[in-house]
Amino acid sequence: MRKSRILMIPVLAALGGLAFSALPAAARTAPTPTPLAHSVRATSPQAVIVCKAKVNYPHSSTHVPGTVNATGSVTCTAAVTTIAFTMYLNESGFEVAQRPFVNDGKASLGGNVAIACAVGTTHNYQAFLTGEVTFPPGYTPPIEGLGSQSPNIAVKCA
Amino acid sequence: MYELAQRVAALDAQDGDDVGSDVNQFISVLAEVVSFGTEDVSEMPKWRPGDADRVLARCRLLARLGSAVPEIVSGPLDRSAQYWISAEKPGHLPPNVPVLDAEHFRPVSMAPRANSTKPFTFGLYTSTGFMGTQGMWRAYLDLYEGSAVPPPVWHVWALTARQDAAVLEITTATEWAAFIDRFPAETGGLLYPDWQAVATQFDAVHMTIRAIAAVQGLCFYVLNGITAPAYWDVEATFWLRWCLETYELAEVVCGPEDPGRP
Repeated sequence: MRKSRILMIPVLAALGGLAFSALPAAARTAPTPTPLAHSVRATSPQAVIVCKAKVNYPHSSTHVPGTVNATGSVTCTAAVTTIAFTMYLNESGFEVAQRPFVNDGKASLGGNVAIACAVGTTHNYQAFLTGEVTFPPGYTPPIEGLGSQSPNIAVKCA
Repeated sequence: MYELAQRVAALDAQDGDDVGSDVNQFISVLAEVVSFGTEDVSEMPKWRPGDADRVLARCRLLARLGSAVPEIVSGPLDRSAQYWISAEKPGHLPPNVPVLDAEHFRPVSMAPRANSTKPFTFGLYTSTGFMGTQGMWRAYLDLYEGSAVPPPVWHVWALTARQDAAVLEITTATEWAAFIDRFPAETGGLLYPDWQAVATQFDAVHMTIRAIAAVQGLCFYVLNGITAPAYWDVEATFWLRWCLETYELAEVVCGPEDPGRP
């Protein structure tokens, strides 16, 4: 059964997504602009972890016949505790497929959502990614949501 | 990513620490160049193949990979390091037979004429293993499928192709364009490879990543017209005939959540 899905993802760009970052708790909570705070960030700038979600355009698969699919990913600048997201695929405004993905201790995670299509037909498709990143202990915030979406585009099934 | 200079910039956006990260960067960038099937041919980017090759010649990532793993960048094909992966198909398709043998192979001679730059319905696609890996198709699956819940089941076959198999190497846009111009099949104002004609002279076509980077999603001017865009994504060899000398099941990949699946 199809259901309409509207994902509330603010300020998104095609092929892009929102970037979120987390700082070590000491850096985030230290009073600024005290020298201590500056020194923490200056001496270990790599401690800031930035994560970004991306969804590629839905397209007719060139690997599996009669299939429309979309790939997406979350990429962080350093390994995090957990990356978890779900990819959704809408056809003509209705959700037709979703797949969850999760990994631990990695800096990135990719995913792929697909749906069968009738060869030769054309429909509008849009892909979404929504999920969260759990940062390593001591980072603030400890968990951050993130998401991205593709444009809504016409795809001809091949 | 249909603008080649932008594509090169994306490929070179990070200096890879190793071959694996460079390969994943290549896959991620090329995954953004996809076919909608609804493109207006008249508005699609059209290139002279030599111009495309000149732009790609500036790519640092391809230069690094060309030094480290030339077999997937400039060839020639390493016939003893080929991998075929049988991945589960979506439910609407007949289930895959995860067995590699001549009985299940469908040669081009048995296939209907296909107007496609990368046909589905016949032949066999393999990727070249490099530096202990099972090739770029496995890397693609690991990048976009490996963490799926439930986990996938992949049957990975290691195979060796016959040394006397006639393999056409395509390592540049110029070679890709010349290939289509040599074996043209026109449909809808675009030229596709006439795979039946190709099979009269070759057993397989080896598409390297230097060529893929230069041709993916692009049309080229050739003597006989304009070529259709191609989307190969990863290094692959398309076998038009059964040319395997040895083949054995190398690995069955099951996710940890469901290890008992066949």
